[in-house]
Amino acid sequence: MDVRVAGRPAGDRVRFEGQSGLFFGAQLGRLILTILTLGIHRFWWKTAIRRRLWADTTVDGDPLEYRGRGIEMFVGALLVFAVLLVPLSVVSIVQAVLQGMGLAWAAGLLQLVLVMGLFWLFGFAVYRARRYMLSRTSWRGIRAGMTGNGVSYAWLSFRMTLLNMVTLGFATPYADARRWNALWGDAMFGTERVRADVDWRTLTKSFWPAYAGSIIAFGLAFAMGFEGVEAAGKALAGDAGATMDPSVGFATLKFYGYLAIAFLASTFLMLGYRAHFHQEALGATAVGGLRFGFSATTMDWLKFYAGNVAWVVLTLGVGLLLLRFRLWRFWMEHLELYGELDTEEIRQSVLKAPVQGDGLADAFDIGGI
Amino acid sequence: MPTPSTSAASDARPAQLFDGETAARRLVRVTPWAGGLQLAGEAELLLARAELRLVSEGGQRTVLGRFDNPDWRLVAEPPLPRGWLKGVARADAVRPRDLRLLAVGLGGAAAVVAMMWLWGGVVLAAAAPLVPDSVTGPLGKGMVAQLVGERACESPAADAALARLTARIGAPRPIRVTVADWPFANAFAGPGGEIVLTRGLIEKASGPDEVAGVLAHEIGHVAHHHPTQALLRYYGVSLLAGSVGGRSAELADVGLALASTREAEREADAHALRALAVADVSTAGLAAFFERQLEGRGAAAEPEDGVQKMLAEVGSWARTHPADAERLAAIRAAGAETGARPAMSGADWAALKAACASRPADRGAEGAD
Repeated sequence: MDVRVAGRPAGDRVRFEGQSGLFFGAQLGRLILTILTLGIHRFWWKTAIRRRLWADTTVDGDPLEYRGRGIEMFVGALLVFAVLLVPLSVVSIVQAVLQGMGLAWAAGLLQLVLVMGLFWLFGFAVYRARRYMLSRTSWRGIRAGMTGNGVSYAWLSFRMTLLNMVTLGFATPYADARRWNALWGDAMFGTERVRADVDWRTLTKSFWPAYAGSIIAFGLAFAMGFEGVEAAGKALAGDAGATMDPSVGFATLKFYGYLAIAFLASTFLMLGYRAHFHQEALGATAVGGLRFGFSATTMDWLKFYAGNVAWVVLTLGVGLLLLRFRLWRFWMEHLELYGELDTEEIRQSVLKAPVQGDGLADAFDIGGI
Repeated sequence: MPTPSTSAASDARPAQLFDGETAARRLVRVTPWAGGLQLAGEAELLLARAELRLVSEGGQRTVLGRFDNPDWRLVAEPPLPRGWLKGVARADAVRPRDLRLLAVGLGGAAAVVAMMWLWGGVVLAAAAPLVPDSVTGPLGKGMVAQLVGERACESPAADAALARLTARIGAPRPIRVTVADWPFANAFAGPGGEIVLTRGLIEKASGPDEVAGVLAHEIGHVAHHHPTQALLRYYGVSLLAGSVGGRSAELADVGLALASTREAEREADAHALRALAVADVSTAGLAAFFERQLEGRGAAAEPEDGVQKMLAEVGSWARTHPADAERLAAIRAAGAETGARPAMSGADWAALKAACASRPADRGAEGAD
């Protein structure tokens, strides 16, 4: 039974009606307010952006709603200060003391523990930010949410990070699929659980060519700039004389140039994988009878990123204010829905919503929106 | 399915009702009545204005909520006439609870700031001596190693001369003086009794008494635990400002760091005057240093790189500070009574002046460290 409202055009089931001009105008005042309050206003700013973007988005004709509040994010940031930054600064003092005492190995060990801890916390932050955002998102009066507390996801994400470090990124499809399934598999819409079942094997089709291409690109960069590699190595080892010789300096420069080209080529190749991943991942995600899809191709992603860069450069940075808008619009324009939800069966969420916002994600600067 | 309509409600507006229990959508017609809004169709309801709240009101639609059920939503598209919503509270209107929360938050923040303003110095002064040498020693050593690095001048004769000078001036704890090969005239004190004098300071000094005066001043900082206080302040205030206020707050923090040095400078001056009097060293040297700082703009060599510029700026801030004339007057007043023996023997002074002589002459070469 399709009960679409009369007069609304059929077609895209996910529609974004936001207007960039209106959005941009609203950001200027917020920017000034944020500067005047030494940055504290940014929690309310972020909340207002989400409210606007959610409210301008309709799914099957019904608008999304964001119910978060700035004060929740503010409290979250204070909490992170107490439980994370204070201990971290103590650790950094201890480290400086160890270094000064000549116990470089102990300082190094502590540094390793610190970095590992931050890797773990990063996954935890991603989960908590998602959980907070979903718990504040509703559609048709029904709230979304997540069932876990983030600890098991943090461990999974940590293991995947280590795996990718050991395999030099070769395990990326596996890690991406595991993370996606764990994160979205914990999500709920009301009483209906989201199912996410990406098979990493389907991702290898686009990943392996991109990975091989990247290896070749970087290999070529090292081979062609070999003189520079030697010089850079010497310079890194602290041989000051090496950096003074102009011909050696030029070789180093050339090497960095090749590296930059290889990096660009690799980024472009990986964009193909990114596009494929999102198609596969959303295609393998469903809630009830509703299945998702994502239509963005490699070219769409390329145009999106190139557009972002152009916006920011041409407006001398002012365009940064529009990036969240552009990201959301990109997602909503390419998000596709198939099938129907049994809306009579889905009842209100009984999940306990977190009280405070995504302070940890704020500290890590995670998340585009 | 056509919208049911009756001739009785010709001015009825179509809307969707979500009861917050299930995700089901009920089509209703909204009409106004004296007390609020009336719903008819798939749900029959008489709603009072007082129980309604306006969730959002855009160009496309009106979204209404209910106070007694936070998940209940009535979505009218196109939007309801303004007149129908008169007396309906806005959802984002400031609620008494919010005001209380805000008042508590602002009051708390104001109290913390006031306490830091009034008692922060006292607390820091009381806390700094409690940090044991086993912590401040390695920290200071590490800081000097990082700051001065390769530019430390190594001369046993100069070190011995400085040790004799330090012994004569007297210090409350062991002091380690490092001469740094920088052209500008400045001196710094770090935690754990670490003091740095620049080559420029020694070269431009009118005589050993001037170096003795500056050294006594820096020993005054050490005696009052000022570097440790600065460290505690950094880890306390800066981290809070950085985590809650974002990047813009860190700028404000720099101001705080500078502002809190005024009192410290006076304390260090007072200590220097006492120490010089006891050691029977003329305070004319210290006065001469300040005179040059007040007058000698542009006389100093141009700093070579960013770090040097920053370090030289610390001095220039002091130079432009109005309190300097006051400080000079205080030093002159005290200087009348003292001053008999030169601070250093001729041989020691010569050794100190030659402290950096063994360093390579092409000083531009290591600008990269």
